[in-house]
Amino acid sequence: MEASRRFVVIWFSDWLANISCPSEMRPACVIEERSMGAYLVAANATAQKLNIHAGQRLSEARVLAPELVTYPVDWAKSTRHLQRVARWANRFTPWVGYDPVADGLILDITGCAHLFGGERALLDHIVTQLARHAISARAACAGTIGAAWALAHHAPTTPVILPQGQEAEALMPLSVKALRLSDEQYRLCRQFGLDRISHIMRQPRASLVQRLGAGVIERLDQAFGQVAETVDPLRPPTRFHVTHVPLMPIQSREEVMFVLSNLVDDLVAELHRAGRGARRIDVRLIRTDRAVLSVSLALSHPIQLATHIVRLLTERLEHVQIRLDQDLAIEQLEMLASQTDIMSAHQDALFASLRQGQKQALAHLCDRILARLGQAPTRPLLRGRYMPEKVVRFIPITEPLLEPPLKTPLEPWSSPQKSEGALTPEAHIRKGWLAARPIILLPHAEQIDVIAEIPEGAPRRFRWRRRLYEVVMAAGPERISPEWWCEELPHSPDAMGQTKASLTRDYFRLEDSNGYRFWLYRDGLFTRETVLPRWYMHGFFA
Amino acid sequence: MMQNYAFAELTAISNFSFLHGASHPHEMVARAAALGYQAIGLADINTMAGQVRAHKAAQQYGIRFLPGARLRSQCGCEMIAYPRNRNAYGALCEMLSAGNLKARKGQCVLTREDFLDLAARADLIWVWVPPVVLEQPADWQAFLQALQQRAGGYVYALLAPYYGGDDPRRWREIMAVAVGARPLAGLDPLYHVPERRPLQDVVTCIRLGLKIDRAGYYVQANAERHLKPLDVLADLYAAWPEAIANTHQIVSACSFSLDLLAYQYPDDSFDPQLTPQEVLRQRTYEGAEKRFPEGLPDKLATLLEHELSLVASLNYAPYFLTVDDIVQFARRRHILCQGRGSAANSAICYCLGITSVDPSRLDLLFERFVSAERNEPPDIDIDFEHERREEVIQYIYARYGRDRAAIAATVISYRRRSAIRDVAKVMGLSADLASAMLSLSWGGGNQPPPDDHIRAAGIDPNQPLVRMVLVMAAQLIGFPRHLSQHVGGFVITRDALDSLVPRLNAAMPERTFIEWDKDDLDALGILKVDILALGMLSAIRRSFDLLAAHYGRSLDLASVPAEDEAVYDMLCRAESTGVFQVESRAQMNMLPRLKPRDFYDLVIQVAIVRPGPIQGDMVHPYLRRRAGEERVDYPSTELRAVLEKTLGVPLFQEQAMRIAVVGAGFTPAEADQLRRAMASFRKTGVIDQFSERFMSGMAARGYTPEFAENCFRQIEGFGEYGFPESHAASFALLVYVSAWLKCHYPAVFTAALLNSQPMGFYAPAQLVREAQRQGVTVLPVCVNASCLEADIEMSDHHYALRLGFNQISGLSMAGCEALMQARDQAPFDSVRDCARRSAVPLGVLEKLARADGFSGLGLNRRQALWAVRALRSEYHQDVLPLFAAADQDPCPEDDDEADLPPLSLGQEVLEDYATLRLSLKAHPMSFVQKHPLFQRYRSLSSLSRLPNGRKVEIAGLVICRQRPGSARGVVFLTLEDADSQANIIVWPDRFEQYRPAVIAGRLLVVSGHVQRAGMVTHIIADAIKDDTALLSSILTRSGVDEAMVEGAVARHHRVLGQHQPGRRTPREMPWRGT
Repeated sequence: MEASRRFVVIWFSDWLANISCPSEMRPACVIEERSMGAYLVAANATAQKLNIHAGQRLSEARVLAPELVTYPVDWAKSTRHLQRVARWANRFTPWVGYDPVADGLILDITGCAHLFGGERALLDHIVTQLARHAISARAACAGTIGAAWALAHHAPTTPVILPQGQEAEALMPLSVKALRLSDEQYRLCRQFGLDRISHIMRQPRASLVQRLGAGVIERLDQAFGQVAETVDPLRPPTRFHVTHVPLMPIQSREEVMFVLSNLVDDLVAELHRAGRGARRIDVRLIRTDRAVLSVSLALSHPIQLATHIVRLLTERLEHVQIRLDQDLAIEQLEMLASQTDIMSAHQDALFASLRQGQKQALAHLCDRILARLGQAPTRPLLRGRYMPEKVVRFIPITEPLLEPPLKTPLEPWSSPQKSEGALTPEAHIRKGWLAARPIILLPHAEQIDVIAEIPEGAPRRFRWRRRLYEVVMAAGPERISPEWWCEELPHSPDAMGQTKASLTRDYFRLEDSNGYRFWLYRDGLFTRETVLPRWYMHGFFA
Repeated sequence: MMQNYAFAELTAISNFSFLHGASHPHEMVARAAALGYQAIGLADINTMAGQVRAHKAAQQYGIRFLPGARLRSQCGCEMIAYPRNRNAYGALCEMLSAGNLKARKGQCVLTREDFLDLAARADLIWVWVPPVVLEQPADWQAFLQALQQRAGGYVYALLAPYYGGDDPRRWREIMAVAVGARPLAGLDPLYHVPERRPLQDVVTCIRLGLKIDRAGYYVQANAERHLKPLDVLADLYAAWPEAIANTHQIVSACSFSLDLLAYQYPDDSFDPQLTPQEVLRQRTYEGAEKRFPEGLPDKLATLLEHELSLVASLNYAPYFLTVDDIVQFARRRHILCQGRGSAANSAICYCLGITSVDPSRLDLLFERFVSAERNEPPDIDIDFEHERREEVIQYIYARYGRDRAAIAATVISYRRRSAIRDVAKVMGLSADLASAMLSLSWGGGNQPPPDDHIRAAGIDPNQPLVRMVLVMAAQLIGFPRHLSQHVGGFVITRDALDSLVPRLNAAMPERTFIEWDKDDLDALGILKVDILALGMLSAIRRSFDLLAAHYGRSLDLASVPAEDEAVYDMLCRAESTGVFQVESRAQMNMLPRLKPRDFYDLVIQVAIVRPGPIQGDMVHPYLRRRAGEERVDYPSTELRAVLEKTLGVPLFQEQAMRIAVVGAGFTPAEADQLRRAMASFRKTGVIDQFSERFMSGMAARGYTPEFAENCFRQIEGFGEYGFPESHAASFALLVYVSAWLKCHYPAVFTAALLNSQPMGFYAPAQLVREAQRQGVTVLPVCVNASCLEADIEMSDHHYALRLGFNQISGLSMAGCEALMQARDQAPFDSVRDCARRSAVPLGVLEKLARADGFSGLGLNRRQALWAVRALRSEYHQDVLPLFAAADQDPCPEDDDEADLPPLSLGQEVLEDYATLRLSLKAHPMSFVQKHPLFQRYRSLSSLSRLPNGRKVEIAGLVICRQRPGSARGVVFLTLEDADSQANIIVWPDRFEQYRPAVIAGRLLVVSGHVQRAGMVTHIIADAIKDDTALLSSILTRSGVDEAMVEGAVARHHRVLGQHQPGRRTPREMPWRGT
């Protein structure tokens, strides 16, 4: 073992709170919803002063501070941020690893410190730089990871630098917790009264192993340098990344496309091996003046098909100005599949089924429209609503047609609808649940004059766009009440037609003397909602 | 024209069709009456649960009510059935029962074939509720024809206006399918007024687990499913006048009413030669002989004859014999039991051994219990030992069969918490926001949180969505959510229960209960026996057992020496920790003021510290009169007779009733209605009518308005929290017996209490401390001496209390038994010896070591644990292998001496609390009080000597915190130091200011001033400081371990909120978030 390895351990003491609610001055906490309810996973400094800490139930913390602000935990974000900080730390040494025990980093700075003005300067630099980004950090430097960890977490003040060979002296008075013990190991030590590392050192080794298990002793040896421990360094993401540096800078669009199509082949081969398809492809063209031209492709399905990607790239690059001349040519081309998905392999059938082929063709079409227009095509989505104008919404064509299926009703009779198509109006009309809907719905209902029986009778004649229509046949009413949950307030006291609140509609299907068929409605129930109901034309059947 | 329409709505459902209907039964009935309907029929989905309520409401509003059910089969066939006579009703209930019992809780499995069977057997009216879409019409046609063949002409088809666009065409279709059936007009209402439609949508969403904006067509399109005025109906059914006329036809065809349910007492189990009355007489006199071996006192003899003749005239003898049978079973099994409630008024009950209060010692009213005027069944509640009640219940099932005995239901209703939570979920608010809305409100009240609480939680109550949630929740509160079994109300019948009311499966296996709750049964006059559980009875039985085993003295409830001076002396000193009922802070404060000197004083003591007398402002006048500071006068001579024994101040429920009769001119029947109204006035609000009647009656008889108002306020207070005298007497007996045990055998009594935990107000630490104060030697848990339970042991020629293994939390009792068996040969001499001979799992030994159970072997807990852990290699997977050669070749004790840091006394105490919930070594506060930082605080024992208004600063551990619902936001804290306790009052403004400290603090420093009333001292808090962090560092000196302190102290301060039957503890605040 080398005599003079040096390690730095950085501990982000309020990591989750720092990244989730960086500028929150009020008491705030980060919560995670678990099956037993919401729990705190972190609390900011203001909240900690009120005795609020990670591990509490939210309800408990709320009792202590009713004004507590909550942020949902975002583990992905935490990981992303930690990665960023780790990459930033790469500038100090190539050997940067995550701390597997706590939110922190472990740096092997052997032979690096002098580049930054010595260990002291290095630590100060790290801590102040992090503080500038609102990350509170404690750091320590020592000859073993264990010792540096113990000091970073348990030294009264940080940053600390521990010279070689002074581990025993520095660590003895610290709590046994500084040995990176598991909860169970720590509990056992406490029960024997072995609170401090010095207490443990005093016991016969063999008895300790027998009673506490070998793990504790190993941690002890790691801290004191009896057992070697090294950093497990990060590796940059190199998957699905292909580059090409031409012998001479490239100067023509055709050549660019040629190189790119070769790169696509390489990338696809790599995706193939990994069983993944690209969802997003980033292309970087680096000019001789180091300016970078970036183009990205978003794909609706995981794709491994080289010809399709090349086609999309060609279409995409048509719109991009590639200014190339003698001096400024492209000297490097990179291609990266930055998002990938597992590619579900289908067998290529001898006679490819029509449906499958259509689906793929549609997806490819979407990609092309998206690549050309930058905007995805839409299609109507039918929603389970009673209000006719709310039934349709337009969604990107690639999204699934139906709203996600509802939870299965708890009882067989709990609802009138049982079939899977329960949510589409078509299914309802087909089954007779909703009365027929018109072929054409006016974009906005138009107010009309109507002669009808009071209170609930069907129209006899009406005037629409200055023409008079005589009603020969009428069916109705189909009564549709407003969606109260979208209104200002349910049953506000002045609801007698005075407020903007919508009213109940009575829809009638009518046929006039010429055989035209209309769909119109009375807005508001006579006396119950309004004294003077108005009438509206809303659609036509033929 | 309109008057010709006699219309009856027969298709309504209520909110007892759980999460379908959106109106209470009484709302539905009241609305129908207001609209001038001829009758209303309520047919809930596969249940009869709401019927009695609707029946009662119909009587109140003067409208004819038809009981029925809406039957839904698994295949989606829906029929409404109305029984035409008693037999048909029974058959209907039987079918529902069978369907319920086939399914898991809350479901009912029925098929079309069941309907056809039932139609053939019984005279029912059948109304077909056609599905909205008529698929497979031929199928329906065949079924309806089959039904008509069996049910004769009584098949109808419902024509309901759903406003779906073409109702008239639909109706024609329906009638085309239902060939031969008659059309029936009905609105198929889900709620009584259209304003309930949003709520109906919400409950639908709750039922289906949907959010409202994703509910799609699962909710109704419009608000038309309500009761409509007659003229609207006339228009709707203009083309079908027959449909309306048919509603009238059904009403006249149904002669059945719930009033016809004549209840039959079980009587098959008695001597066939004798009538039940003769058996009862015989048993009563046998019992009387046992109770009074020297001969029956004259007073009692007259009482008995009077009661027996009354019982005979009302034919209640079988009921008494049923109860007697249950009590005799308990006697045979040595299960301690005692009747409570009005049964204690009865000499028969005393002679039969149902109650233990000698009626000749009291002057009780038999008429309160059984009366000829009130045609209601007597109500006997019996307490059993809480650990053995299940045996009694199983006996009843075995004795009468599950088809004749079942538990009554409890209707579980929406409360604030559940309502807000469910509505918020439907409206799309996050669970977090919902709990924030609730965070400032205590418990599960009956109102949504007030706006200022919402605002204080950082939520704008006028934000539309929040407002909507609050409005909906307010409506939803009080809605029944599901049925659950009552804690102990048993219904026993002569014939099969199923023909009376359907039964259901309970969540608990092997349990069934009926669909009606206590109020429903009361209203119909159906017998029930309450089989209740009481922890104190367990403790008393254990005390009697210990007395018999160690002192050779055998006693029972009735034979404990009566009127013992020493017992009353002890109670007058307020030394009542552990004593039944009078151990609460309020009762302890009252004891020195009331100074009970005889049994009747205890009866008053039990009854007086109740919200009823307190709210009625009756406590202080009574105390003044008792102390002779105020003249005892009576408002009139008639009232003198009523109030004489309580010095002119009404304290008992019966007195309130008698005042209404004597003072306000109520008839006894009216007074009884008043009593019932008292019990439920908060729900129904009918008390106002009584109030007027009461006031004018009192004024007419010349009483002052103030007196009248006082009386009435007290009657209101009794509503929820009053005690009848007889009930107080039963409880007073347990007070006396437990106080007698505590006074004369404190070691026995404490051991019994420790073994009956959890119960009562105090944690084991306080109970043990109280015993030590009384001079009992308490010995620690010891591997060589303890038994499973706390026990009595001879130590230095006197009795001492030895803690048992049950004091160690989470210890396996099977392991301890193995250990005790191995110990019988010879005591253990080392940890290794103990492990070898007993072969208990390593985990058990570790727990014992941690609890300091090896101290008898000279090992402290660390050394013992060290030795136990050394055995790890000899154990395979935590279990000791069979040591075949162990005895021949014992390994030498692993004697590598460990250099373990010794425990400080403070650490020992902490560990004791963590493992045993108490410490015999020292009080945690004794360390704190010695600490320089705490020197300046006053000791709690000195407070009682301070004058009123003196400023003080005190420190102590919180052992109890309460915020009773009746105290309007005031928090009561009890602090404890090494030798005394103090009561702190925190007013609401202070509470808000020092909220975290009050809620979560374990060691508090309170500055405040003394407030004294009589012998009672309170400290009114001005400022509160939380010094819990110091506690741990003081105790451990070097310690850093917060968690252990938290655990230890939390256990020590176990919130004393266990439910105890008969005591309605206002729930403590949710400070540990359980």
